Amino acid sequence: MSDREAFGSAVDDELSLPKATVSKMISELLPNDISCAKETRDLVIECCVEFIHLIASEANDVCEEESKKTIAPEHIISALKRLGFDAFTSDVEDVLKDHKAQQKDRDKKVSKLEQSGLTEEELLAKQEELFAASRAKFQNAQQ
Amino acid sequence: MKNRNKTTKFPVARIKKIMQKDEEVGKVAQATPVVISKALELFLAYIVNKTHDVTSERGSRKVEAYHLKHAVETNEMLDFLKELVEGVPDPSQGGTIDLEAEAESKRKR
Repeated sequence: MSDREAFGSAVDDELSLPKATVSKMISELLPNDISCAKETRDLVIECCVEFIHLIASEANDVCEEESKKTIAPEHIISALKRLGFDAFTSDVEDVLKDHKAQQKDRDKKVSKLEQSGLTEEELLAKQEELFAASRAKFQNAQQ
Repeated sequence: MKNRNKTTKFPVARIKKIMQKDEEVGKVAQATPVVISKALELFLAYIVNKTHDVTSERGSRKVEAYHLKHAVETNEMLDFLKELVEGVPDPSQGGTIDLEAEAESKRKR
């Protein structure tokens, strides 16, 4: 909290979604011959921020009811259902599945490293050796 | 439908910051803002489409703020935005707007 205060309240008040990104998304949703007033775009951004607060707050309640300390994606899904955004949950669940699958791949790579049988210090030492070798190579090439 | 550029996404880090502006919100799992980003995308599509419906109904080529206001007032899913759009003047309501706006500002003080 104090970190934020150090930067001044101006940063917090301006906390919103990027205009360019939202403008692009809006124009992708509208037909070619329809334009959107700037005022409307800004209002849409405010609505989006409000939506985030709404979902976050409800998800926080769900989280507390489950005696958890960290808001998990599953809490977001429950929140959406509770707030009448059931229609969104199917796509959101797909995104969650994809994300978990990607995470699994990342974890596989990390465990591969761990299975190499070397400790972190040994791995770091090896890395330093490789750096030193290529440094030497580089210097030789320079001469 | 138009070709949708699937790479335009909401910034996940920013979403997390917006969430944590609420003091009640504590820790947030890494995957959570990613999931909210998708929900937000769907929400944006919903509100823009509903607003555009009003724009079409009124025979306009430009999406105005009061089209959005009307969409909010006529769609249950957008109920939570009623307060947000209160201040948007609706020209089709004629002279009653000023009275409403004045009453509103008096109430808020």
